[in-house]
Amino acid sequence: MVRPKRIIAQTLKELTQLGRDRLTLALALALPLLLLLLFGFAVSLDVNKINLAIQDLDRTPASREYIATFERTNKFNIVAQGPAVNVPRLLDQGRVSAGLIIPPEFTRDLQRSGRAVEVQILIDGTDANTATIVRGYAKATTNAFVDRQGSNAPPVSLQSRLWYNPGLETLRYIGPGAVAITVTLFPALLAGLATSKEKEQGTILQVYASSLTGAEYLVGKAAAFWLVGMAEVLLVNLEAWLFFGLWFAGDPTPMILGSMLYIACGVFWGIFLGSNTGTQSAAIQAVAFTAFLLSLQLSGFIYPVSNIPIGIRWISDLIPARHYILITRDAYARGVGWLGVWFPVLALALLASFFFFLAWRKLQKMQVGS
Amino acid sequence: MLAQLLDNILGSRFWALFQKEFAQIFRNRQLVIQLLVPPTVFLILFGFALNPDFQNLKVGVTDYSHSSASREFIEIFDQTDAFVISRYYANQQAMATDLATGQLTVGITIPPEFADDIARRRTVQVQALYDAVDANTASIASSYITQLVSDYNLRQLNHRGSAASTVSRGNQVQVQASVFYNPGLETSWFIVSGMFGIVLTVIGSQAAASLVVREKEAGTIEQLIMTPASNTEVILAKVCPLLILLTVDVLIALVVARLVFSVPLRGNLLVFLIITVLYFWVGISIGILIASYAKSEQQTQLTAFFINPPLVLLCGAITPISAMPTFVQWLTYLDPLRYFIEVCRGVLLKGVGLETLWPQVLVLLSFATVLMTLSIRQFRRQLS
Repeated sequence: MVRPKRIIAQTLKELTQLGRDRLTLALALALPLLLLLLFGFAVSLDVNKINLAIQDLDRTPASREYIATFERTNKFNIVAQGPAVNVPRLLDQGRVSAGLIIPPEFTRDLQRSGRAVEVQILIDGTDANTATIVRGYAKATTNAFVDRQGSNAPPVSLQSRLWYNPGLETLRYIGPGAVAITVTLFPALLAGLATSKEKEQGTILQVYASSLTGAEYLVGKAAAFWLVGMAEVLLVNLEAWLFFGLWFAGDPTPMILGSMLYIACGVFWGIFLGSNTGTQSAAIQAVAFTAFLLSLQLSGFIYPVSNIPIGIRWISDLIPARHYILITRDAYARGVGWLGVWFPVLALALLASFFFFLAWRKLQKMQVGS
Repeated sequence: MLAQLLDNILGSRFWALFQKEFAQIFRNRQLVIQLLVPPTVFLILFGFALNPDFQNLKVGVTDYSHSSASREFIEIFDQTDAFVISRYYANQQAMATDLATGQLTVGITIPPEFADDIARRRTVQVQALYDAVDANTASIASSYITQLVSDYNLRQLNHRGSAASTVSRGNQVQVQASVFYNPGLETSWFIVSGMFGIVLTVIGSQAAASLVVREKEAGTIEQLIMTPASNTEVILAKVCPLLILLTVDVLIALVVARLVFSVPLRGNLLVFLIITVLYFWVGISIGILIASYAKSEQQTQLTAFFINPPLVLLCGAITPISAMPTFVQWLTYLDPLRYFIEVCRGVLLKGVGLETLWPQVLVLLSFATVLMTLSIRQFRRQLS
């Protein structure tokens, strides 16, 4: 038995209370916008400007031509160059990511046929990912140099075509993901705080004593924070359009439905956590940990989910952000629409119902006389 | 002399306050748990979950040539763990659909004339289609594949060279790559060594903020002002027990990093701990500064949420600073955490000491001084 009038009354009460705490409301609406800018601009994995030091012990036209090949790739940023460059020292100081050492016999060996020329490249392996890429670039650049020396036609030439994101802009990948992550925190946080506050201050007892049922209380409360969350979604998307120049690549309906379900997941989860924790600060910690940090790590926002070890990957299926991110990426970059993302939308619907059930059961248990 | 110094400390107001704060912190079991458990959990989770190591990227193949030459070419994908051939397709359309729905990262199309052209020594065009929604994965995949193809070409040319035996191809340049600090290219080392700073900043600033604000909310802060202790003493006494707990945190984190991820400690432990304690001052000062502005614990925590993400995202722990756009790179210089991360990686992985890290230490020292002064002043202003 659910009575709509009571639900609306509960929603209005919740919104009035929220409106009184101006700072919290301002933070709730402003923080996602700031986060989105940060995520969009700071989270980048392009390895494009590798700081390189070159110790050229040969100093001949050939070695200079070899160095010029490195300059031409636009991947390297040559920081120091010359015979006296101390590569290990620069690596220690963190001023370069790699150092190239050209031996004094470079030209001599190059001109004698049948002898391999050996150059050395020292790479900072602290960041293993970048190190692997740097090694690949160095080899490819060297191959390009060798190719120009000889005149053999290569057996296979690779024609690469990049779909959906031909310019390989990180923003088109990170941007939609950032949209998903930034709207994760506040709906859950506000709902969790409001619930735990009622518990902390004891006002929840009045609710239990009233004739309001658990489901009515839950839906009424959730609706208020769901509205705030949807306002956040709108603002964040507006920002993505204006600042990042993102626009829907195809049918936006999966994204709209997905957002509604996603915010509902967050709100129900927040209420569930709030009714389980005794204090507001504990609620904040619990939400920050589960809704924000886990979403950030396990959603595939930065690195693909396939990189996560299998056991932890299963946990990630329970994280709504993991599914929502597929939806936002499809909406903004791929544009396949329902055919591509019907499953994530379904998964969000299942998770929302599951979180609703958890919160409802918890509130049911606490209610007096039931 | 030492005895007298000890006497002076033990008899001081600071010591009395310190004991009070210490007892208070340890009575607050929730705070102790909050300070000790999450850092460990974060470290392990982040270390496992944030993995930049690309494995098993799915490759689809449409082989119109069906020849032994084309099969030999396809074998290049077995040479690295980065790729796994997930399916062979009869035509390109089916492959394109799988690419569109995200089931493939790369689709390779081999033309019917492949075997012929290879035999006649003409250049064959092989097509690679990438799902580039994830620009990073696509560019890594494409650079891997380019490398594999160029290795294949080199082998073919050498093969032809030796077959013809008249063409001698010398003058090749071989790159000998040596990887410093992390020769096994353990990807978790990067994330884990960076997590030290993140965990300590977030936990430290939040704990400090909530300690101060709780006292404000409870009204007991007025009693503290009534004591003859100076504001500086009051603050120092608040900070010291936290410092001790956070130091325990670091030790736990070091052990976890060692045992779970086998991250080495190549530098000097003492140097590391000293710089770490210096960095705590920065984190705690940020917390106290937040608390002295906020009115309730809720506001404090929310403000901390406002301040921590920029610190974390701009410090270079999760993604390399060199990959950020230039103007964002300039912003990172304002992030104290950036310098601490450099220290962490320097001491743990590179094994360098103060002789190399002194610039970072100087910057951290000035951050600590400025922020501590600011927070004490703001604290004093609030009280009067």
